[in-house]
Amino acid sequence: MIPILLGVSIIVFALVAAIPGDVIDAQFGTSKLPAAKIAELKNALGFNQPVWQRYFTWLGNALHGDFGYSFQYNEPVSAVIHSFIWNSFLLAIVSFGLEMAIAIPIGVLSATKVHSVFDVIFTVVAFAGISLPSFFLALLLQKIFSVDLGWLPLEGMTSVGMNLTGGAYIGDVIQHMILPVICLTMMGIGGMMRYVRTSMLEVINQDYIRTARSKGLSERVVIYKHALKNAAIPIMTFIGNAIPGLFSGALITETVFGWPGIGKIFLTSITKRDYMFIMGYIMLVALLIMLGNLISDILYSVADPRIRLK
Amino acid sequence: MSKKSKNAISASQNIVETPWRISMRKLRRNKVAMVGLIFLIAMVLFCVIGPLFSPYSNITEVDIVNAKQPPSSLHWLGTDTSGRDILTRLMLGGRVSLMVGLIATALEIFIGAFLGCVSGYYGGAVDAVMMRIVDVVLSLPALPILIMISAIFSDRHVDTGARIYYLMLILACLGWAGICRFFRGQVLTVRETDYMAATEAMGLHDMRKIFKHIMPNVFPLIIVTATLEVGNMILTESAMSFLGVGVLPPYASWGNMVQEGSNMVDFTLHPWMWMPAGFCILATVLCINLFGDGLRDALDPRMTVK
Repeated sequence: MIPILLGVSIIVFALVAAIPGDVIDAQFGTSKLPAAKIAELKNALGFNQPVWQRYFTWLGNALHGDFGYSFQYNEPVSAVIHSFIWNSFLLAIVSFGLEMAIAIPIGVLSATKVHSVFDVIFTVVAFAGISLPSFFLALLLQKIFSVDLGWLPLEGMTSVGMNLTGGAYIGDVIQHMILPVICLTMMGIGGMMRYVRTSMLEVINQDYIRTARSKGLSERVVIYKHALKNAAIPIMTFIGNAIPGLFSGALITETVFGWPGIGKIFLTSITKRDYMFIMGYIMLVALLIMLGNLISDILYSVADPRIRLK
Repeated sequence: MSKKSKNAISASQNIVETPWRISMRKLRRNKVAMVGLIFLIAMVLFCVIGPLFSPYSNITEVDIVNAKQPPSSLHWLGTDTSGRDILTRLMLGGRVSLMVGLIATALEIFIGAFLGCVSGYYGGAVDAVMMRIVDVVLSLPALPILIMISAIFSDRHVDTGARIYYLMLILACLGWAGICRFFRGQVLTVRETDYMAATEAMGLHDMRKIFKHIMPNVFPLIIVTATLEVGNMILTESAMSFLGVGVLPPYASWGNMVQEGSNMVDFTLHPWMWMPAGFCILATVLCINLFGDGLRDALDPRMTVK
């Protein structure tokens, strides 16, 4: 894992270094600050050092848990991440819960009634979910539910200009959450539905299911006791793989809905040339991706003793 | 049962039905996949030959007087901010989106399948090094990296026309790793089969073994993966164009057409400016996915259910 993270950090740092201009240009480029002062600032901050030197400085600090300073927020990167990541997580965990609650039963039913009308309809629905462009779905939801019907707020996390507290504040946030959560759920549900269906189908075609049927067990017991238990292994690993990703933020959905999550902050950090934050964020997401793979590997070997033989 | 025996008869009449023909027969019977394919062909025709019949197919022509007109008999889907016909721009944008999807996928599959086959076939050090590289590339979060690379292009003032080609290249460079790992796995299983032992006994050259005996056996999987990847590529490209970092105006792409209508006024009052392009993306990608799924069912013997 460590060599992979090192590789990722080298690639990302090289890319960051290839973006011309830096945070000083972005902040003071158009101001009246004299050129000499700007050069002095850059020197003091070490922006004039060669790339490899800056990389090792960054790496050394990162190893001590210091991911640099975000100029955009005048705070350490870790503090910025900490203050926005939970907003992202809130959206992600709620929609992930909804996805599981809807996709797993439908996937199982689809597999038990394979090629039925129910299965065909939900196959198309699942593929529609996979094929939806997130930005377009987000805009469509905004247009229908907040512009045309006026039921829900258009964007943001709280109503502007109202200092709500306690229950009223929570209610306000929930109102703002509904549309982004629907959007994320619709995006994720198709993939999960297909995955559950495939896992279940593979199990249903196994010999031990035929055995269970030939023992004269009722179809209910065969499906929900024998088949579902075995299909739960791949489903669990799928979920385990997705869990770290809940922290990585939804770039496009958050941006369209103006939700102050980490993905939206990342997009603005690119225009602001906030290098340290860009580095910090991408390393975080890379780590989360790897954690997801690790978790699914571990779950696999816990749930299925055959894998452990390797 | 009667259907099965009929098939058996028709198979015997054709003397031997090749696996390819069996698959195609299976595919033709899959209604969902066929509907997907027909819509897809219609969409491609719409984009490729549609502009030839349009009186507005000059993308640089601007007609400010007729800007933001609602759908009418002159402009069936209305006009955009610069008075350009939306229907025509949909076709032109579709050309760009489909082309980016197709070429990026072709590149990605070429790199991924080739490296995967080589890696799986030779094993050892080659495989070890290749898989570490794949691990690194797979750990890169795709969209953030794509956005960063685009920021570099914007700052270096790369020509907007040339950027479309760079975009294909970058999409392929970030996507090949998953395909490489997938094909490596496939080749590892093919390598252990008896017919590969036979090629060994015949003393065939490595390249001949890879291209004549391994590749044909993983070829169906290449087609399936490629089909589904075209859809993913179109989605990624449109998301980037929407964020203003993919295909840039004056070139139309479905993604940046949605973006053009996303300012508050056009968004609420002129839905014809952004909705059609979004539905085009959805319809195209959906059809690709439905067709690709049918193709997988037809080509992959393990997927045969009942």
